[in-house]
Amino acid sequence: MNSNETKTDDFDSNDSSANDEQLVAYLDGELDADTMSGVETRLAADAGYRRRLHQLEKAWAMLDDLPREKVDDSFAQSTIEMVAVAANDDVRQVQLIGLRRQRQTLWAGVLLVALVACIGFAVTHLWVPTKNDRLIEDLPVVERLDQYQQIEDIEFLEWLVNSRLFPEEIDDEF
Amino acid sequence: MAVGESTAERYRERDPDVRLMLQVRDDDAAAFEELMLRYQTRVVSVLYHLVGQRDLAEDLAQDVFLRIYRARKTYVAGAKFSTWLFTITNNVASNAIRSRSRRKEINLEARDSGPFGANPLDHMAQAASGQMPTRQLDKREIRDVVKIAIERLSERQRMAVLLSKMEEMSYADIAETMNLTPQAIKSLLSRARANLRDLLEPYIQDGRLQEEET
Repeated sequence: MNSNETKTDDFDSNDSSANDEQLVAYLDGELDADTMSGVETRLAADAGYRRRLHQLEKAWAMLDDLPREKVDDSFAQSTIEMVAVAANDDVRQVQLIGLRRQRQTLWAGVLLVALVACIGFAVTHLWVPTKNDRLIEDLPVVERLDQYQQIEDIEFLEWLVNSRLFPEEIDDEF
Repeated sequence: MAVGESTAERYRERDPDVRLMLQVRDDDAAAFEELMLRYQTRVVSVLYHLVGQRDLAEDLAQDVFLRIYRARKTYVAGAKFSTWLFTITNNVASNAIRSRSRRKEINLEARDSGPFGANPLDHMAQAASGQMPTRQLDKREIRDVVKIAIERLSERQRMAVLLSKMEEMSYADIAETMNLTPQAIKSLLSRARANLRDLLEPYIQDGRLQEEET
């Protein structure tokens, strides 16, 4: 190394990580135009900076000797078989899901019919009056039908009730 | 984040592997086989250098292609196909490394002792100290030295180096693959290559291997 290079050797090992980041990005072509220009200007003037670049470049070039693993036909064959098995499993899953949904729909239908039947039963028995209900309601009249038939005028009976002439008997009855 | 139609169209036009994958999406078995043949060596190579074992690398590679196949129906071209493929590769490798360290298995494949004896790292340390006379490295020795240096890197540094060197990915693509920012990749690669430089320096200076003193 001559004295001129020593004078321009500004490479600061304390700032090496920032320098390395720029130099690596420069080697990878990842710098924008302005930054790249700055790096190249510095490379021209700074021997230490240049030296660092060459070291990084040479170490990187040694990785060209990293082996590319060769893969034989059996790998491709076994992978295809594995994928075929996976595809069959997927089809079976879809079929199972379809069957499950069909069963669920069927059960939902059965439950719906049962619910409608229950509601219908409740409506019929709670709200629709039967003949027996009517008879029960008319029982007081039926029990005294013979007496009522003696009075031909129903308005006369209503007048007797409203007049309160026989309050004890009316209260007992009603 | 949903992929816009124009983005998907752009990748469809520019990347032939994206077009193949779209055929796989439509259950084209031949397209899947073609993709696999194009990428199997690359995926196995990257995985081998990540996990250090050939058999494990092949198993993991098959796992990667199986995942690709299973994801075919929901595939959308939001990136280059290789970026997506190596994102899955990175994930598969990380899971394997994590589960292996939980089981505390030894992570180096059995290899012969090579030119560096049973403790190649000790040899590299001695070589770095400059205490040995030299001789010319042959290709196999250079390869072994480089493999050992790669294994000394952290998992993330190793992945970034492999994607950069073996797949020639840009920082942006590596960032997308590793779920980091391009700036983070820039720093990661910088530290990795500085480490590699330090490890390989004794072997670089004049291409000579430091020999043990007799």
